[in-house]
Amino acid sequence: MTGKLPGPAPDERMRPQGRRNSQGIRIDPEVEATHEPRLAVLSALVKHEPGVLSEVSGLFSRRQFNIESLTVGPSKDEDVARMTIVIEEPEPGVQQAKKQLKKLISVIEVEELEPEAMRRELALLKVAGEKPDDIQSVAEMYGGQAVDASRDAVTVEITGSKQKIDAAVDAFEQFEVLEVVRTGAAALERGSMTMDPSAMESDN
Amino acid sequence: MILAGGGVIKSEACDELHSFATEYEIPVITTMPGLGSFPETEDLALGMAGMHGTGAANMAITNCDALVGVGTRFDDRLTGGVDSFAPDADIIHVEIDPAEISKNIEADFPLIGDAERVLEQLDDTLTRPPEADAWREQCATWEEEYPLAYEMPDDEPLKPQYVVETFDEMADDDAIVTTGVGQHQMWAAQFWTYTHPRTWVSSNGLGTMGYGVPSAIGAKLGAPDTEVVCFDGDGSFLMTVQELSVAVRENLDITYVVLNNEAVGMVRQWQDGFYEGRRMASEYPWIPEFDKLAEAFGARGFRLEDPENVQETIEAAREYDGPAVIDAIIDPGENVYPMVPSGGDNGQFALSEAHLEML
Ligand SMILES: Cc1ncc(C[n+]2csc(CCOP(=O)(O)OP(=O)(O)O)c2C)c(N)n1
Repeated sequence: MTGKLPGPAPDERMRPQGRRNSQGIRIDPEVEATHEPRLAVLSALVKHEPGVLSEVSGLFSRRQFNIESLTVGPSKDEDVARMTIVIEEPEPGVQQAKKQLKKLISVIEVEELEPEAMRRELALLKVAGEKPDDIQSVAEMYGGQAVDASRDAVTVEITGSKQKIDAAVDAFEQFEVLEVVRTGAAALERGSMTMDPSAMESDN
Repeated sequence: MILAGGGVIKSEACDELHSFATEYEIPVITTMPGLGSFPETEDLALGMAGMHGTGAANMAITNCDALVGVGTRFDDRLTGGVDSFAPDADIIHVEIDPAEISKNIEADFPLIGDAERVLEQLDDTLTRPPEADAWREQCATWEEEYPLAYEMPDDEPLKPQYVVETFDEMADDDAIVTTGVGQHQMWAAQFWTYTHPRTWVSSNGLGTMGYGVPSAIGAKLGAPDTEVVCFDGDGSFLMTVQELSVAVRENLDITYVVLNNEAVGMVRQWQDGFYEGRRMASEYPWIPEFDKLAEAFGARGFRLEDPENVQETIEAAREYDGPAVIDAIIDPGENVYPMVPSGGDNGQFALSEAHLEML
């Protein structure tokens, strides 16, 4: 095969000591240090128009951000929808996700919520069993209630944090859980702070 | 070390880059989109870094202790594997899009803003040049050690590098080069000397075969008084060859050079280098004669096989007032080096197939 250039071979060249990790961060080669993934709740105000959801989900799948849940619904303003996106990423990934979201034209504002932000999820569980009363009392322990009953199954509604719902699903296993549907997190910051709606006019 | 990307050209920061680099005597490397942002004729210019970059640029970018990246995304064709990318360097990243900061390579010092303004501000802030005599000497040594060389042909087969280099010597200084995607694109990047911004028009790492023919038309329409040359591969040329009819209709004075290796050569090169030479769907002897195809469109066609005829053929094609196509029948086995395999260490570029096997 033709094509051979002059010069020292690869193993005859000087090489630097250092190294970067897969996130492009310089590390001490002796101690392999990468950021551990963490959960982050992103709250985004987006224009309420067709195609926004696919734009956002397309971004996340293209860039392979790990989504734990994504919910969309109307906000206070009828032209604006709020998305709550829970992702599990190392710190650089969380920062990238925020920046990339901000670049989408239909995204008005993005914020990462504080860990102590209020996070609520709704779950409906279809539980097998002939004793609706037993099921109802477990539901009450978790602040939930039975919302439908048939001869051999009861549907229960529970609202709360992810951990609470996880625990409730576990508890219902004693009866056999036939089906579960969970909404994913809806979240808001505590206190009187809001996301700046005036950003909508200035930020395009 | 300065790494100049395409953003320098987009923000019209080339003059500022030039005065900054020359005032502080900082060597300059470009990315592929950054070709033309800094004159390659300058002593400080080390050429393009990355997958098919020069040996000097790749040694310098790997071993430097401070890197000012201006208007660059640190794309994977440039960085190779991030683990070995400038691992000892403090990265100063001048970039207008915050999302590019620390996306691929962590910026120790992010400077968000327009390249021209930030360079101006850097210039105003710095009080003295870095003490870098030894570093500049080291860079010069690398340039001597790793010249971009090729076998000079005195007989067939014709070497593509020779065609590009000869054309470069004959063409106007500010001539615009457009390309398709593949080996010819790399030879056009390596063996043409870029001295002006916006003279390199290519899809770069995006890799859009077929880009060469229509982008040459666009370039000519945008800059009617500037010489426009398209280096294309036979595969890429066939993807948008129908656009020749536009060039004929508008009577655009463009010179197309098809570096014809009867193959999708870059694919063949990878099959040779990484798949033990198992060639599959990469060789295409069943292609038209491009000089005749050009004539069929109403353009002028030239066939070039003999190294002795390179100059006169180029001269004739340049002289023709309208679209001309040179079908340059080149060595079908020629490969592009240096080469950093995908995800590899820039400093460990291969200079031959034998080196690829060592890596
Ligand atoms: C539209 C498109 N299809 C496929 C590819 C993958 N690809 C990259 S280089 C290449 C070969 C190009 O062949 P040619 O244009 O003849 O150029 P050469 O490498 O021979 O110079 C191919 C198929 C691509 N980049 N774009």
